[in-house]
Amino acid sequence: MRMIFIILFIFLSSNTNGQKSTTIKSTDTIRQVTVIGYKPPIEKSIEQIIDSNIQKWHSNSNLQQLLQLHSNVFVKNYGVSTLSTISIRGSSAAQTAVRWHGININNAITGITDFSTIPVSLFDEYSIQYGSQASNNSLSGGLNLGNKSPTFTKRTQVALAVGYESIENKNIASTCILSTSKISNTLKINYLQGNNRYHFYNADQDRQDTLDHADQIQLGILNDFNFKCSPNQIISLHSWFQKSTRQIPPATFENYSAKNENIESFRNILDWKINQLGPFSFQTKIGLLLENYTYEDSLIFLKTNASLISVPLDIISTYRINHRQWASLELIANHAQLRGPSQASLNRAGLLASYSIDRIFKRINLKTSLQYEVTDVFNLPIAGSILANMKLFSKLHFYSSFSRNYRMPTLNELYYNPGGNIQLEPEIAKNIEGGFQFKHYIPRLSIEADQNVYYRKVDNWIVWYGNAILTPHNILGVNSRGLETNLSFKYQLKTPKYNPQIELIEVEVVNRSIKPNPILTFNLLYAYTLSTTQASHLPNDYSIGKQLPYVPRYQLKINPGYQNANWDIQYIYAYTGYRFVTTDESQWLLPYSTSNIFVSYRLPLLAHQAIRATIRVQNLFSETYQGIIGRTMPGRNYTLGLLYQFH
Amino acid sequence: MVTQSKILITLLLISCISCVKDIPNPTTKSNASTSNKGVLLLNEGAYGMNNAEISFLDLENKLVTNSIFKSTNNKSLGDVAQSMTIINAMYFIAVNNSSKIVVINLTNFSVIATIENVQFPRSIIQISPTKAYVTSLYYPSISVLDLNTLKITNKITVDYNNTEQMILSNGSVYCTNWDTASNLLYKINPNTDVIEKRISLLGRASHSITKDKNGMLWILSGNKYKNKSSYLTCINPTNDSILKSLAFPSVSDPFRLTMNPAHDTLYFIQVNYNGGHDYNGIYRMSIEDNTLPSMAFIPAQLNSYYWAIGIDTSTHHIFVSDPKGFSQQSTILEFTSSGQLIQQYQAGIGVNTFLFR
Repeated sequence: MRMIFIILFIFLSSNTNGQKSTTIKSTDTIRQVTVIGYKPPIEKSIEQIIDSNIQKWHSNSNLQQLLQLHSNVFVKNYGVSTLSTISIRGSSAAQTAVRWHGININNAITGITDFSTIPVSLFDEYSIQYGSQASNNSLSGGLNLGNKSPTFTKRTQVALAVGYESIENKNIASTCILSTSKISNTLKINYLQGNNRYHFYNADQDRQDTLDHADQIQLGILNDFNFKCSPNQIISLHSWFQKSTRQIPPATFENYSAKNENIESFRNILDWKINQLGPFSFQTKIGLLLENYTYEDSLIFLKTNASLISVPLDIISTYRINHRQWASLELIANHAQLRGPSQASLNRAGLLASYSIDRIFKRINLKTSLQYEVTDVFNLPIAGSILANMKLFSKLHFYSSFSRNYRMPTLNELYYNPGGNIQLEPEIAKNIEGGFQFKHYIPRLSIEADQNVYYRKVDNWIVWYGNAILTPHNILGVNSRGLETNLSFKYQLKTPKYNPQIELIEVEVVNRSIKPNPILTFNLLYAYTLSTTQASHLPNDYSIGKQLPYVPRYQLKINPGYQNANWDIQYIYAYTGYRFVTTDESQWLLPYSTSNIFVSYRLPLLAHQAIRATIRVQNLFSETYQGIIGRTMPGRNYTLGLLYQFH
Repeated sequence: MVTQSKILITLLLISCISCVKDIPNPTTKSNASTSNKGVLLLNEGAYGMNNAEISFLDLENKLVTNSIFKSTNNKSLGDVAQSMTIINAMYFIAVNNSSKIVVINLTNFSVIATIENVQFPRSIIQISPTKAYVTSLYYPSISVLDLNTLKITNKITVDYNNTEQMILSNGSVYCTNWDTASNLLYKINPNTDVIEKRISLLGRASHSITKDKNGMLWILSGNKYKNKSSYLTCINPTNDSILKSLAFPSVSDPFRLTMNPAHDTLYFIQVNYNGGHDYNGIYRMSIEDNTLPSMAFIPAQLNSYYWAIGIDTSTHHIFVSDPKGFSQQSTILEFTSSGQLIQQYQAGIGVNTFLFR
């Protein structure tokens, strides 16, 4: 046990060092940490947590830029300022859940989230779940957005950041945290005004072009209010307003565009937590999600509007059977309704039961879940999962999971006019995966390796077919399999010195950390994804055995870096393989690779104040590439950022 | 630690192994000859994908050559090729979503000219050796194209958006108007470019027009998705009187009105985008019939629908395209005149036109 705490301590201290090099000053304050006991890594084995340093490099960006350089998901970009969706392990965008405080915020009309409308600076915590579990209610995994839990210590913290991108975009972001022993409030605001103007070679028209009609204005306001009613009860109200008004530039084969989009969302979650009421804990979350989307193309006299209201409800009760076993029961429900002439709706309710047990034979941790839901439109199968984590050696863990899950058709797929198909059935997936985690820490070197292989079979895969009239069908059976690697090395150039005053069991650190050492870092992300059609109801389907469109078989990211107390220098190489644009592999986009450099320098100021300047150079060698057909991405471009913090 | 490191290295090495090469394996080039007897296929491509193309089906060798345009001209034809017309020994291709007309050589398919900034062109018809008309989606106009200069020289304004198919009959041009507000068929004097008459039809949103052996005009109209029922209307162009008007059920969605080589039998496609059996397939009827066919002559297979029909003037074989959702290459099905399937071919994406030569 003592060894675990030492490892935990070293890990925490190396992380803290890494973060401090770009934050405030040579000594820093970390919040109170209470280590209660051994916590198995069972949940983390299928999760990639985005490092806070990486978030800082992208503090002037939207989320798609972060994900495409620092994760194994594939980001499908429709251009610099337009729709951006993700695919995990060859999934479709709608098969990936995006959760905010545990509530799925995928648009109930389209089933997707546009990552180009989520500023990185609005959240403190990003984690990516690879693979399906009954509890994450998605076929392929998901992305969790969140902010740090309130500390309820008296403090005031203000941060202001400005950024400028060479593609003529300007950005300003602010954070204000006010906290007392009872109340904590965090307000974050992000405003972006952009022209997204850059030059590129237009191969379709054989000329040099400048991207035009790509202006955008984006405003995000996020407020987290937390009230500590009693030592074990917290009531929180999370509110997030996001508005994006943007022009959609012409594709390379179009001469001009008059397309405009206006996307507005106002999401609210009321969260009531009761912890440690005897062996019980309770959490109740109720949401109110309002969304409005307007699309206009004055060239063809088209204007459409769609409004939506969703009310998700989530009630979780957890029972600690003993120090090794937990059981929980979760009631989930959702009402989604289109507003306007259609009034179409989709209601669902269900129960999710979970059970966890740790240290079976001292080595194995197990978690199982079972979910049953009903809807007012179609029948749903029972979903379930089992996840096991085994400690093979002190530094090597093996994990394996099996799950059965589903995705419900969206309101668009059911009711869109013209083309909606009320006869659609849910997509049903079976997943199996296994992998290992290796973590090795010695005073100057830390190594972490995650490696997994997976297989997923999806039946009733929904595909939109058509040209003038698009209709969704449960046409395909799709098999996805592949492997993912996540390697990380950190080497401290000097032997670290640890503050002996830090207690290992009950840790409270206030201004006691030591000056950080220079660190060499190296990260590698690799994904091999085969996602092919295995069965089809289409006659003479040429897609059988072929890779799904816009799912690259190969992705690689290599990220060496150097950090010290003031400097942070990173190089990121990203390779994306061929992407087919048709289901029969008859047409494709060429592979591309980009080199990117991030440099950040922290100016020491007075106590409680800091300024950090950053410069990013993206696509250093001006590689010409397209995210999707007709959308050429920018060549070499840079971003300047300045962050002022006071606390 | 040594054991663990070995396991780690072994497992990581596995990650370097992969089963499938990333380099695509394009379809082997066909040995078909475009100078043989065959049919030129216009692949409209998928909307927004800029992948319109031309294919050639060599009927002597039963082989298809795809991607003819790109391999000849080293560039894409454009986004959504709507129609292809032979004018003055050249192919005029209306590329709808690229707002252009591409003119190519009849024998070697090289680009002769590209006429830009034509508003969403749909159909082209030659009305004299020096003049052609071009209809436009979304706009209430017909463009007048000078065939000598290959420039738009004039516009004929009509009453509603979405001018569609045209036909030349008795010295006048008849133009359909595929707008749900319109029940009009325009009769235009090609010498003056003036609308001479507006013929009111029973149905709205007319889109297809053809002529039978007696010189009578047949017009299909309707838009199921905008709740405008379809009608098949026969007009006598000598006095522009309506001879008959046959109503389709509201759930049917007919288009691509086509005459057989003898010009005595009408063929059309009914499309069911959900891929069901109802109102889905190739239908035919005699020009003498006074009722619409209730059963498909060639029903579409489950989960598919047909997108184009062409009839070989020499063999009378019927060629039909199955676009497969426009997300992959089309299947061309060749039927005998009695509807027996005799051959299938793999062509480009979204074949919408057959030109026999």
